[in-house]
Amino acid sequence: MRQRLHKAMQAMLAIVLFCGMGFAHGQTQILLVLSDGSGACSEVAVAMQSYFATQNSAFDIRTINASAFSAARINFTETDIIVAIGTHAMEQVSVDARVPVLNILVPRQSYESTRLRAKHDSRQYSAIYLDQPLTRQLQLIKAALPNRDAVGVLLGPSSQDRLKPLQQAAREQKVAVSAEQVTTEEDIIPALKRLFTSADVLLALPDPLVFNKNTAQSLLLTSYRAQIPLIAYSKSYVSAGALAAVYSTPAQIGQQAAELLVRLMQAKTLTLPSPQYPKYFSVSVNYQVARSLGLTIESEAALLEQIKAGMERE
Amino acid sequence: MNREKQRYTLRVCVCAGWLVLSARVMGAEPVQVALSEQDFFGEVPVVLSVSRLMQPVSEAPAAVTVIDRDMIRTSGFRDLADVFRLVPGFYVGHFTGNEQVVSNGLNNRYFGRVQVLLDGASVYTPMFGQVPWSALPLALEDIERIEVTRGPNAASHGANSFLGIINIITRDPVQDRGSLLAVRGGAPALADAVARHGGKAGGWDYRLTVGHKQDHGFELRNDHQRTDFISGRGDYRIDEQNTLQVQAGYTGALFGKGYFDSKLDVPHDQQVQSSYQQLRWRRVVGPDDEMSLQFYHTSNSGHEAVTTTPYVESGVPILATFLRNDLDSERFDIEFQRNQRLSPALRVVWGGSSRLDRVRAPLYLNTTATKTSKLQRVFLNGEWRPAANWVVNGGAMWEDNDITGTDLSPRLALSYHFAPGHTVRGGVSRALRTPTVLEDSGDYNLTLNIGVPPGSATIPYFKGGQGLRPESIVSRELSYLFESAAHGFSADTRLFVDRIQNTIAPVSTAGVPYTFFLFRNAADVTMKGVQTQARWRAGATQIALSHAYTKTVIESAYNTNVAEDLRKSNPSHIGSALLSHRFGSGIEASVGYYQVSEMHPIGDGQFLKHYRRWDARLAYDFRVGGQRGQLALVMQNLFAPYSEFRRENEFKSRTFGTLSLEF
Repeated sequence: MRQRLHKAMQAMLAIVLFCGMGFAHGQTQILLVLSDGSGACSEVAVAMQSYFATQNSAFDIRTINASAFSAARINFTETDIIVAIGTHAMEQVSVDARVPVLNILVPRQSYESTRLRAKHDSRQYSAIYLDQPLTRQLQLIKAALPNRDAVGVLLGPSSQDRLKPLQQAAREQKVAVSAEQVTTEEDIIPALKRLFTSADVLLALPDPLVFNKNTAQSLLLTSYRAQIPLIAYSKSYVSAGALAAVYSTPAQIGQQAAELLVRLMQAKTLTLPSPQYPKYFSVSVNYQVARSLGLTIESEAALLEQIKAGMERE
Repeated sequence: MNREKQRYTLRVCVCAGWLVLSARVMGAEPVQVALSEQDFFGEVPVVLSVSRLMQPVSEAPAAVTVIDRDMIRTSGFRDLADVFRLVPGFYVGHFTGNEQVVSNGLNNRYFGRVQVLLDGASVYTPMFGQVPWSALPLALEDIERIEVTRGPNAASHGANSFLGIINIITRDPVQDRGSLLAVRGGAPALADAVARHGGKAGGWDYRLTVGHKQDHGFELRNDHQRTDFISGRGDYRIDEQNTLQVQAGYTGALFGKGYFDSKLDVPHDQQVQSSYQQLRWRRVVGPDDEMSLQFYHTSNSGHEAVTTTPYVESGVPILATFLRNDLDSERFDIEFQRNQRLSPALRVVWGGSSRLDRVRAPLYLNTTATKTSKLQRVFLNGEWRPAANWVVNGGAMWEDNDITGTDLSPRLALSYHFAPGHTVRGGVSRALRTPTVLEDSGDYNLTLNIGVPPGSATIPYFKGGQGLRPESIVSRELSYLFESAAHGFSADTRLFVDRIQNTIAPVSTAGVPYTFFLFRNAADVTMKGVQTQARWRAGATQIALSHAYTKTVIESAYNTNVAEDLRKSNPSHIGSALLSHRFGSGIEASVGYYQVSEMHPIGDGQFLKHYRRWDARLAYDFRVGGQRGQLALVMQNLFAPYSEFRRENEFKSRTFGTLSLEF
């Protein structure tokens, strides 16, 4: 199913790109570098193209796969800006690029470690993160579960640096945070059980050691049996059994990136803003799990509105 | 010889189990993988699919009581059967220390009329319809929760889901990685041990549990038990959608039987074996879209032999006679089930199964032949939400069996959530109970050696009804359910009227020259009453209350004896309360209270006076070298002795301690 969607996306992308070709020279020339094997990257590119189409913008867009990217083969005189979509593209492009690079669809933590290797000036290298700001995730908890204010987090090697910012955000949102560190997969369940003595809701922060296909079962089952809802960061986790998630779809990320490029063009500048979190996002709730846990959760649309209202107040 | 060998094999298995358990698993190396967009967009297998999700009590189509791990632990009960004292209306009795009776009306040693499922496998025996509670290869520690339906639900669980369904769900192996060792000791000569190891090997999440249990049982009975069991479960994820689950267990036990004052049923030992193997394939495509195919095999056997004591009856000398009772039964069952959502408001589950039961019981059936019976089923159940606060549950099961032919068991329930936390539910359900092999084709006689004239005499005891109609029940109920998640409080009360027709009962029948019991469709009975349960969880304190009032009306009966037997088998009041509190210092204290009003259970039971029983438990959690441990002291029946099922089964105060370590 996913595979088919991916193929369809690629076909659509090819058509859109074909139509976009042949614009006169002098337009802003964008090179989209797509990470391989991810339907999400194609979805981002399609969303960007659709937005450009509505703006009558003078963009000349070319696209290549990350594995085919090589600085030597790129004609930099014909490229004003590179948009690297996904982590693989980000890594390929970071090696050596002489033009500004906007990284999108990348987790904040991966961006920050790649950023250390990139030789770019900070005005020439930036990102739109894939992660949601911690405050937004806490706002989802407050909106969906107003009676729960003891948030537990499991931190692994990739997420341990989130503890301080999370504690800061939690103070602002007036919720308590308890955290457990894990360094091996074996630690997860004992750490989770320790968390349950103080937490009444579990917040998942992306970390490949903690949350992956193999650990999903024990994490979701253990927290469900303990009647502790899990708030996740992706729609897949909601289908798998998490209570809810706030996340951005590839289309939403694409929209934000395209808007940013249009603004730059209109301002006739190639100075990139500092890295930013997703502006557009969605909320997804597993109502079946909610019912089973005896929880009454508002509609997804209402939760989304509450989070947006909360953000505006900030 | 063969049995010796089996016991030896079990010993070897158990020893091997202990060895495996004593080995520690190595910790995995830390892995460092970079985060990528795949962590956000990659597929995650559906874990909490519809079959795994617990239905909230307020949305269930019938009256449900859930007993969770906390309740099992804090109750301090050592026998699984005792746990059902916490369910409104459920009667728990001990015919002996090793043979328990769990029923929900018409309380009877043999024909429980309650369906019992262990991870989806039906464990009642085809011969008596009894559940071998003491011989189930199952540790209390491995149970995740028990869902008890009070009343029929044959539309989901088939015939014999007559007066209730007990659904025992064991823990997923992923929840119990590591090892557990627990030992228990106390009076009467009680010595138990359980060891478990859970881990991951070659893609399998597994759990292996071995256990031993022994005690002296009731003082005035020949009632000792020595039970050894081993059970294991392995879950294997084939890919993101498909999983395979394998389970197996084996119990070998020695139970004391007979009566000290009996000349025929003299004190002796019974050797019991019980085993099961289960294989289940599950395919989960989405939260509402899954299917499973399961196969299981269960087997139970009991072997006992006595040499009777000579005595004189009506001037006839009865000589010592060697009698033996061998009972072997097994069940093969294959079931397919499909859960799907047809529209946002309509969810269905449908499927079918096929079953084969085999029984060999020369003493009870008066034949050495193996009796087989087959059962075919097709079922469909739907949950329809026409509006946000309405739920309609309906379904039916069609069955065809060798004993009574073809039948349909339908069900309909309507739930209306009239305000947040408030629900009313009305329901009608019909179910059947197929006669057990004993009721249908029993032919139980004792052939005794006599002195004058030299020879033997055959005395009949029980005869099957041959061609009995199934018992049928139409159950109507009206319930009110209240729930306040914010206060951790829930309560429900249920009014019910159960009309049972063709109730099968043994009827004393004059024969030449002896009188014996013949099973007949002997009565129509109406049971009506009120059942109430309440749960409150306030921080470290938990309270669970249950009460049932039942009025039994015999509409018609074959004779007054039958009418009286059935009427007296139901106590009018059954109640329980369990209070537990967790103190900050790792101390947990709980008190249980149980009461049953006067009654006279059927099938070797005796008149019992109203009793009250208080249990208490004190536990202390500690840590040694980073490992968790617990020390618990349980006192059962703190005050005056009472009788269980029979007058001589005096339940005196019992005290035992448990030490458990997790590492």
